[in-house]
Amino acid sequence: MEESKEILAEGNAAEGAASLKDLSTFVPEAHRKPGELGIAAITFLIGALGYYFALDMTSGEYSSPSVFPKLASTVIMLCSAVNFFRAVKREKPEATAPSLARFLFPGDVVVVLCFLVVYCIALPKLHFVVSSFAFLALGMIYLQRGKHIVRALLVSAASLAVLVAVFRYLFLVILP
Amino acid sequence: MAQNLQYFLIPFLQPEMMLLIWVGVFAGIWVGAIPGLSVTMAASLLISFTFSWDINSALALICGVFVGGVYGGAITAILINIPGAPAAIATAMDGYPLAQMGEAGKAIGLCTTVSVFASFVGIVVLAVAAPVIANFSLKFAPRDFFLLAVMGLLLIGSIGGGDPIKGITAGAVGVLLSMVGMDPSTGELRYTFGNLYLMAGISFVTAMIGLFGVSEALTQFRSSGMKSPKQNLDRIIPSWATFLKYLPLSLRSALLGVFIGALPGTGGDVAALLAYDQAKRSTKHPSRPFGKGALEGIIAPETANKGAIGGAFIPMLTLGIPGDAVTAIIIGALFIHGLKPGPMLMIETPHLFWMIVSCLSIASVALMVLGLISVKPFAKIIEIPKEIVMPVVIILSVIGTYAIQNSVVDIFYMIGFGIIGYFLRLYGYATGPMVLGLILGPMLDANYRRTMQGAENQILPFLQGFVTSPISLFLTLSIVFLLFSQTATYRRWRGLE
Amino acid sequence: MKRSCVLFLSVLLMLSAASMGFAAYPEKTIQGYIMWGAGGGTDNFARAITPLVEKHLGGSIVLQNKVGASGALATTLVVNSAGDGYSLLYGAENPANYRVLGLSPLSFHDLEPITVAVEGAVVICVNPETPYKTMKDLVEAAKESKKIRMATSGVGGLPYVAGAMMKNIHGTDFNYIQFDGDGPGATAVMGGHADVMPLALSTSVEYIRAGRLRGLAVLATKRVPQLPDLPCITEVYPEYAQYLPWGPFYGVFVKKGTPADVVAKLSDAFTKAMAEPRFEEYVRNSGGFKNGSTGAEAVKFLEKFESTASWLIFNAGGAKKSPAEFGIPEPRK
Repeated sequence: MEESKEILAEGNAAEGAASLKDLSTFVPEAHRKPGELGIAAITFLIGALGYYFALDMTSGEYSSPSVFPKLASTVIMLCSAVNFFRAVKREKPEATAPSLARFLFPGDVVVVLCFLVVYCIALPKLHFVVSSFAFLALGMIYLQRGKHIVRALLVSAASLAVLVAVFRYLFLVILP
Repeated sequence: MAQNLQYFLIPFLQPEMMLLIWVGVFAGIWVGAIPGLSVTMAASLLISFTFSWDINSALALICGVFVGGVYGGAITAILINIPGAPAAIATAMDGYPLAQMGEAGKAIGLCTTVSVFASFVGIVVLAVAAPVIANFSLKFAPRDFFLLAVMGLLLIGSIGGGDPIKGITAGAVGVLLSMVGMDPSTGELRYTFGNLYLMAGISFVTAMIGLFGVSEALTQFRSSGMKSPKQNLDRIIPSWATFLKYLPLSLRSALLGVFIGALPGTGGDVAALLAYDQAKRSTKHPSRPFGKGALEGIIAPETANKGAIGGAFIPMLTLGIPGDAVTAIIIGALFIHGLKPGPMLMIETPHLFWMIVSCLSIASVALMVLGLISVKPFAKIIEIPKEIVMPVVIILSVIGTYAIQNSVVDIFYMIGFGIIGYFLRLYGYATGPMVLGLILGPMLDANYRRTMQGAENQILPFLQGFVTSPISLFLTLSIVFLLFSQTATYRRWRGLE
Repeated sequence: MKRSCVLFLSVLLMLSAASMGFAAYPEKTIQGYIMWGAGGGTDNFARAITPLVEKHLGGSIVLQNKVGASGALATTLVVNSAGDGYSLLYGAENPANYRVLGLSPLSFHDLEPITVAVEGAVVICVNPETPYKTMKDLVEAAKESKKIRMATSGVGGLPYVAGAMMKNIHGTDFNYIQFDGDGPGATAVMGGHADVMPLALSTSVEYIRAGRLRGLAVLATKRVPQLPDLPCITEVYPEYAQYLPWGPFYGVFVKKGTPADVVAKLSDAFTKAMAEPRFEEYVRNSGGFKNGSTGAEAVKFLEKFESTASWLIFNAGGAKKSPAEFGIPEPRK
């Protein structure tokens, strides 16, 4: 979202309010984002690992199972290299840019992510309803900064009841 | 002819069937809208549910759910950026930005109107030209399916989020992930590391829910002081002028949808993606830029996936070959109800064909009414503050993912994809291409290899096939043209830039 | 916080109360895992028989498709279940080949058959525009050239094993092209993208009747009632008899070690369901034959199938491991 807003903003500057810039026209930014080199390196690594493990697969013919995995891995490595050098060519992150951790996990995101991870761990141990209710209620209470606690609990219970009714009793899905 | 008309009137004369179609459409809209619940799933449940019913009633209900379900996928795509079904992926590209601008009502209203139109286009083609198209669709060789998948991949240029190289990176990662699991043709295990769950592969619906839904929710949490967009609900039904303005595009995309739907094994998802791509390339002055709320970006995929409904019935009713997953289940239902679906179906039970045509028509009318009634309540949903909606969206994603195949592991995949999608978005990698890669990867791989096997693993005969078969030649030239049309020279010449 | 606890507990109570019941087996919902996807042969079989079984069993069975790794995923789930009869596997012949294909260490030996319900036959089909009018034509042509394209559903699938049979007997080699299953393969043969495919009768019977495919022979020792004009393979080549009867089948299984009374109750319910005219009509229409064996008879059937199929795959070079490693006896000649 943020990205597209930025592009929109630049487009506006160039062409006035009715921006006709579409997304296929790439407008490079002057500064790279914190960690941008890192993500290019990670995708390169994914490609390299993909190729490495594809070496174990049957090969030798043009129709072997390893053909497409190798092809996709090669494309990933090539494109990652391009992404990497493009990012290098750009200027360092702005002095005002947040640190990597702040950029990746600003305020609420890190809390919600923690909730999600705990939820994942709890889900197989507790019943679906219990863990989901906890996630919903705690998530809402946190995001509303501790206001409207009763409303959050009611909304959580109601929405969960609807979901469980639809999935368990209408669609016969046996919940974990 | 009079005989056919009589068959056509069967559902009109039975109030029970009428009612079932309406109920089916209503239920279908919800099934389609809830991510993870699919028409395929609903249809297979209905087989057990309607086991003791008369076949006509069972078909009426299934047809209703089919039409409603394909439509419903667009609603969640527009409102919360989670396509309710893969066929609505392209709809999210422009529908969601529109909803964020407070135009959800307008988007869904337009979507409903053109959907009904396209659904009728599909039905008319089914009624008039089914045998011809069915025989033509048999001529599509594995090579041609490969070419169609390549065409689908070209869409990465359109939904790449700005930087084509980053789009290709994400797309290739998607293709690589789609290779995980047991290779269906040799049984060889690829990237499974001895893990049974990896052997089953990564479902692209799981990836889609995570990459679109959860990553969007996480991205939203970045900006504090979140305000839900106030929705403008004045003009929901598009004016005649609007409808007529988009008629050529609607018709073109609907026909494309009918045809792709009629190909055995490809359904509304591929149709919608191809239609979005062609709309983006051919529209000179979109209402807004594509990807930021172009109405054309909703019309094209939604007309294509609705056209594909009629299309999917074409090979099913004429040859007994399923056009997509839902018609495959309907074939099963016919077996269970004592019929013999196959090339003789139309000869031995001619009433079935016209009755289904009629059920689909009634369902389309029901869609118009029920769809437009529910626009306002649906659009209101996103006026609810985000701090309440977003946790519910996440839980909905979780339960939907689980429902696909009752697997807790899928929930972990889904959340993992959500987090990966969040990081990718931060650095300007769009998530759309990754889902595209996951959908098209197996189609590319399997059909390329079939073609190669057919050419006995020789490069020359393999390449020859692309120019000697007329269908392949046409598709190859289309791809060359599509690539050329990306170049600046062409765009200047056509006045697109 | 107190209020939250109350709310939370009441939701929990309501749900658990709703799912409780009181009776002997089955006292709760039984889960039926279908090893293949919606709309396939196994799925159709499961959905056709289950409503009838529920009636005789007096309990409900919730069906779900657990697709993956040729059905090994669903098989593993059932083998890892509690073994109390609340997890049923609706499956086809595939588990017989998991070990030789290296897909999974499991096999039918880890399962207890409730019933082997339906059997099918395999028909050698060709595109009607090809010059092969009889089985002999096809075999002779295949001996001369390697160009004949045979569609299969992947290594270890039925068409592949049928091809292996032909290879063993005639020494023919085809150019195999793999499709996603019987249905897509049949479509490809009709479209002329492959020349020949051994297809289950259930998939091919309607196409043959309509002249979209030409049936050359049915891989059985006698003709099938659905296609009385089609010769059986032993009329043309008697040497096929050593591998027959062989063909696809659908059955229902539970984990090995499930209490005998539960197995007996399930077998009884399925046997009654299979006797219903509704089911018999379904079997006839879908081109199958009722087998209906249970208990020791079913086990024998499964062992015979395993022996035939795994040795054929091994001899055709498609196996990762030798059947001898697992003590699977070679079929007697």
